[in-house]
Amino acid sequence: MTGAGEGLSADDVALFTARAEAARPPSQKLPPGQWAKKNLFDGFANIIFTLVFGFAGLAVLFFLAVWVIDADYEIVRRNLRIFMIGQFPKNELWRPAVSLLVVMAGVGFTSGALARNAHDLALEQDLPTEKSSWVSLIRRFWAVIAVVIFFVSFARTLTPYLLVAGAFALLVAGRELGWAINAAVRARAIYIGATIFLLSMLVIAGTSSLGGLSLGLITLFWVAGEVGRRDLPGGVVGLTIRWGIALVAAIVVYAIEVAIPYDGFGWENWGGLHITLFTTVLGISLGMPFGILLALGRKSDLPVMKTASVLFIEFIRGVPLISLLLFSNLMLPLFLPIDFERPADLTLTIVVITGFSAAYIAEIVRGGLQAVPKGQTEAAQASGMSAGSVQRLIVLPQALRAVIPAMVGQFIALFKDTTLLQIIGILEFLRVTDVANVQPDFLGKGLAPVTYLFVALGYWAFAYTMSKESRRLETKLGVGVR
Amino acid sequence: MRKHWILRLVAVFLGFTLLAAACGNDSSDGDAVEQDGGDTGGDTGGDGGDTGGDTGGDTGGDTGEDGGEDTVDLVQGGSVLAKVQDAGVVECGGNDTLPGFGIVDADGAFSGFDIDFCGVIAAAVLGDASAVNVTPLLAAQRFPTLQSGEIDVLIRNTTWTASRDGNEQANFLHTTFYDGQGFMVRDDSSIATLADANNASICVLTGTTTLLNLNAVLADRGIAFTPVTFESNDELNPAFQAGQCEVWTSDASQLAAFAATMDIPTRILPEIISKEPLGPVVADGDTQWAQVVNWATMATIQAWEFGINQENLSSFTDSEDTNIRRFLGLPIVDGDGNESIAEVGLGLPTDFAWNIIEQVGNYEDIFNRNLAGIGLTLAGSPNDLWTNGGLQYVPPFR
Repeated sequence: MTGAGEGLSADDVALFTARAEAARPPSQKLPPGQWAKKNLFDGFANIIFTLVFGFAGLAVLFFLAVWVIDADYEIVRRNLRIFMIGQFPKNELWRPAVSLLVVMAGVGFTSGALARNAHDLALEQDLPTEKSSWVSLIRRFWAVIAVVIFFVSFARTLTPYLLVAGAFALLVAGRELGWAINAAVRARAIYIGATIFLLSMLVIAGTSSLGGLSLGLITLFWVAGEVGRRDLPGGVVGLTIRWGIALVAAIVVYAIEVAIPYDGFGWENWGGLHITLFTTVLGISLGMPFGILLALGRKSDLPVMKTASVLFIEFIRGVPLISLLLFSNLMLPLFLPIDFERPADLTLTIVVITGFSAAYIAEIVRGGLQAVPKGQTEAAQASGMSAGSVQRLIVLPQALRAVIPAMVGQFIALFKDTTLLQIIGILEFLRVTDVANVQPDFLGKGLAPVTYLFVALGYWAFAYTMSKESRRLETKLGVGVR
Repeated sequence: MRKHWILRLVAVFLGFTLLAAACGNDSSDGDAVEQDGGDTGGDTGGDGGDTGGDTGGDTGGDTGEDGGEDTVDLVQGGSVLAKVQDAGVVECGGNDTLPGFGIVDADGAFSGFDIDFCGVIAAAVLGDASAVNVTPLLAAQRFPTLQSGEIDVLIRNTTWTASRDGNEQANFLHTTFYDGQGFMVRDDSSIATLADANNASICVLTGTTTLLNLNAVLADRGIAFTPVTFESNDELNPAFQAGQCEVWTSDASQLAAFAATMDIPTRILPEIISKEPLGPVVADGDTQWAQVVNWATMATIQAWEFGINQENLSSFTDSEDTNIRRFLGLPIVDGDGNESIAEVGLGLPTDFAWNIIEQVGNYEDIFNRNLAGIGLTLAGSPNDLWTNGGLQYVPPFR
């Protein structure tokens, strides 16, 4: 065996693969005719079951198809804009359009760069790897692509078609750019991606102290990372220099952002699918790091950390999300001083949703941490790794790998939980159905099922893709294969 | 050690409970009921929160003092009128799913009877009816939101009741719409009055005041019936048309709205079994703002009584009638030949009524624009002018 640091040779890999293949039972793929005979029509009882359920299934499908084709989609056509972005003022529509283009370019760039990074790492270690083809990407994300095209097909003007086409084009271009750009830029892909995402929000919302704070936070970690690459004196001095510079940079960025006079539409005006996806993305991307910290905090030996984590997790998990939302929205303003400017409903909501998902993610991650054998930690410590490195390089990768299905389950649950935003008066995706069905032209026409079908497809496409991607990740990381 | 821990946790937990109890007040208990009603209230009309107020009354009672302090703070912070003039926009709590009263149209803009009255206030105070920011509220949210000062006025099919006036630190102003719970049957039904409905099946939304009222009133009158309950009007409407029940009970305004969309002819029974006066609400403790909202609202009715509407407004510039000239803020010549413009000291511009009528219209304009389309008629209804036998009567403007 070669040492881990020297990498595996191509021969080793071929040998392992051959052995693994030999150990597996032979595949039992039958031609369709034989498969049907073996599974559907062997024996009297099975034939009856197959016929009865087959016909029942086909009948249901047939009537559903007839209903779907016959339904009157005028209500969706007329309200498409509300379904997508809520009550956004008509003369300000360029904002969400630009934002969509920016965010798609950013997603393309970041995913391209990260894919290339993984590709290069695999090449370095002589592992089999290749650039994902566009065909394979379309196959992976077909549900979302199909539903987006379906949604756009309801548009009555050309602009939405052009917008979606432009967004796809930017996604492709961004991905190719991310793949092709030099390694130094790619190494910073996460920070670049986060910055682009934030800027896409600021295009709509305008500059604010909240936006400045978020940009400052990204700057803080980015600059700290940059400074950390240089040679610094060790110990407290080095840490102070590193975070001191980062903090100064963050404050400068904050000051610049706040000083730029660019007004926009505060996110209290956002709605529709936009707000649903937006809260989900923020809830996941903020909740996950926070949740991991909580899980580590709960396993920590420091009594203050441990108590705080346990209290937070158990309080949040013991209370329904709906009551937390109502509390933040209705009760919190009564505690605040009267001349204190009240945060927007959505700000409070995102804080609540982040905290809520963090508490659940923390318990999932804790389960993963417990699954990592103690020997791993001990061996890492024995080889002289610092406490931080042990967690970051040895324990967490194994723990997180083990809990992918539960974690993605939590993400999907969070995505669907965003429908609760309607109880505090936010016009999220599902609530638009109620709003559309009381318009004078559609009142009492029994069109609720049509709108529900439309909305359900939207939820399904994203939830299904998340779940599919999680299974792909599991296979890739070999979860469940020993 | 272990015991110590448990004690500490219990203490922390007790602290939380106390905190929640102290601040939760009526919204934690009473509004739980209110919210049920409120959901359906969105569909059915003014009935929604009504029970909430009544049921919330008991719980609200003992926490009333807490809330009272909040209100005092609010007033010390300055008048809402000054705040609105400063901000240049009226923050209005409304509804977004109540046909005719508050909906979101396909362009994403709010419209409806209640929403128009938000515009009336903005036109009066700021001279611009579009300077309104509508916040859609659920039934459970509306009073806490009003108390917190987030909205300046609440116009969201909220029924004026004693317990709400008393417990919610709310100040109910001139009623803009007199609603009530009614009954609808198919035109070919043998039921002519409520008494004929003995042993009938009655469709009703579950968890609403409507159902509670129905049980109470029909039990009093000794009428037996089978309730057929639904979660929403979207389910109830086809069931009624399919004949699953003989009678549909809801707010009269909503029955009319649904009747207008049906292919089958229907009738509304003469009995109205509850009083649902709906109108604008402001927070207690700010008399000036309450007067402003009240007179802006009443100006639409006064204009109607004078016969001034959006179309003929300009023809009144040379009206001879002193009352009309005073009302519209036009110069009046007194006996000595001096010209003056009447100033009534409400804190409103002298031409506020003119702005209201020009930009939004009089009561009849607002009614016909929003409610005629959903099948409601003004003539002969309780919302008609007092001179026509209705209930709309406002104090004289002088």
